[in-house]
Amino acid sequence: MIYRVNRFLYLGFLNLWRHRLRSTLTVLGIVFGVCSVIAMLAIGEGASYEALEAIEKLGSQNIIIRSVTPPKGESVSSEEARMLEYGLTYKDAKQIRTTVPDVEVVVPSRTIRSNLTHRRKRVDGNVIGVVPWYPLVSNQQILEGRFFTERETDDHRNVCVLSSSLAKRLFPTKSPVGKVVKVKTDYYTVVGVLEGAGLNTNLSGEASDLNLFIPLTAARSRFGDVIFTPRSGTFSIEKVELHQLIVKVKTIEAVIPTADIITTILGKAHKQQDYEVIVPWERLLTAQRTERIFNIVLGSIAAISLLVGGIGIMNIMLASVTERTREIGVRRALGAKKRDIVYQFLTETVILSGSGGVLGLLLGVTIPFLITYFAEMTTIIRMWTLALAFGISLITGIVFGMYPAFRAATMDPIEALRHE
Amino acid sequence: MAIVEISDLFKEYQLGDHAVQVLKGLNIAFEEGEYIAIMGPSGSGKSTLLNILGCLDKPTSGHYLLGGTDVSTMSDTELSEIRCNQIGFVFQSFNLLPELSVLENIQVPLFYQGATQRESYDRSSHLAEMVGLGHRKQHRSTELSGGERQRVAIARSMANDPVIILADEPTGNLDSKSGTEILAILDDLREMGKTLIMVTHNDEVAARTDRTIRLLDGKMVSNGARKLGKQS
Repeated sequence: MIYRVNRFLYLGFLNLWRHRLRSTLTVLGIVFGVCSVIAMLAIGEGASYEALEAIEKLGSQNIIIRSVTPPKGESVSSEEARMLEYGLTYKDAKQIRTTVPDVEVVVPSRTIRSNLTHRRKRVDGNVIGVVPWYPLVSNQQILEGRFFTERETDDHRNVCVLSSSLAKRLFPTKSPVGKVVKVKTDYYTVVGVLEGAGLNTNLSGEASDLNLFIPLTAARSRFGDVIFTPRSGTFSIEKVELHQLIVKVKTIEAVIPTADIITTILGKAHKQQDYEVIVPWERLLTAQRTERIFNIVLGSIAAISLLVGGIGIMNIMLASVTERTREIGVRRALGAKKRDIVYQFLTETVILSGSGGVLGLLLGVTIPFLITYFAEMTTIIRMWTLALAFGISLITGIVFGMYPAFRAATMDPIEALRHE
Repeated sequence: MAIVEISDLFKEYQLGDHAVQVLKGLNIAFEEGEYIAIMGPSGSGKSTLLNILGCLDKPTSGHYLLGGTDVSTMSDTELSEIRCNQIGFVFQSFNLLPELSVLENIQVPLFYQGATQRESYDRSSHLAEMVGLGHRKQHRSTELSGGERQRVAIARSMANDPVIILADEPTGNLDSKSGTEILAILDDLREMGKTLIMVTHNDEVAARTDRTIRLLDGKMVSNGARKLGKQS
């Protein structure tokens, strides 16, 4: 049995080797087919992974409500900037916490841009006032020390937690825990370092990751609700109580209904559209749908190129069968059954498509790597795409080799022997 | 018992809307070990007869018993089995497979018989030596002369230890010297007790056989006088 298989393989290789150029060109069709299946799926997978990752970071059980500058109703009358009052309020936070069912926690936060200094090091970053349970909602690990406690919040204590990149900038060589950071005129004692930047990351990507977390109560008593921002020649005054509310919902199923309720409540409480509700879970679903469509489109393009490769194989095998009519006649006369002839030709197509599959696999793994290296695009090669592409190449070989093989087998041996 | 027994054998081909009768009721029997020549002008049906004897073609009616078994109604696969195990072919144009070596060519029938690699090697070496090509076993058939190629073909026809060997003008494409060598090898096969059936145009060649069957227009005109004392 093994000898027979080997023998068929030997004959197949012998014949393909005799027509090296032709075999190589035929194989190329499959190589590019397989390679494009793998590369395209890797690019698609990578692109959607980046999007999904960004959304997933926000937490699929979270609803994020952000204060936004309302669209200007009437132009500002005087040159002097008028105080702009907008955004989420402590009242909103309380109302959501007490009236909306399925809410697990509400995390209000305030962000103030400011200089942060330690000794002579000075960094332009964000001071974010939050509540002690903030890390639970943002899914951030505490790298060092601890987050501040409820007690410290109640006492309006000047303690702070640094985002990891801020810690690296202000304290490049030593541990920041126990040290102080100066913000405006106040000093804050560092109690811990958080992994990553936190949930204040804007989806538009403009937010900085240099964040200093302090108790919300402290933020309110040190900075007040009014923010002065110097502008060219003038300055703007904004009164914003809270910049962001993160609402963590008990179950994933309740996320979308809860978001609807919150939108309704805020709609009644606010006269103008000075907030936006972001539902990561909803965005995730949309992104996944997009990913699926993307994959289907890329997959079909790749499948078509494999199809073209398959047709190439069939074309060459038909030519080969015609050329070898005499050989087929001789083999039939010497005792080959139709089945033996089918095997002989199918072996050749499987060798062609199989080696095309292997080469395509190698190339298909290399190309995403090069794309990542040169274009700095995320590409992800999943094992199933390799199996899929290789499997399809083999099946293509068998399917498209079938007809030429049967044509060879069903030849009349007498006619075949007479063939010149 | 006759090794080959043909009775009332008819063969017709459909050409357009009318049938052409090529063989018109042949009755022939060959004994085991006989060396027979089939002669006749072109169109007399000798090639068709040889194809039917070789189980490449089936008669339209009549019976063909090979070794006592009726093969005239067998399926394509069954006929392949018969060719594989009981028949050896020698062609006018050798019909070796050009990409294979001498040994590999001899091994082709053995492969379809399902021989192991060992058996196959031993048998093909033995046969190559028998036809005097022991020194050229690994050569491609394209590197051989016509006479050598036909010797390989004869070795190949012997590979499956056939009941009958069919030769279609085996010397037709050879010069007289090589032709004589080939005929000598065929004589050897006859000495070994093989049943040989040869189609030829050449009276000298036919003269070396035990008897000559003459066909004309699909009918047998001469059963051939038995030159050797094998009268039954």
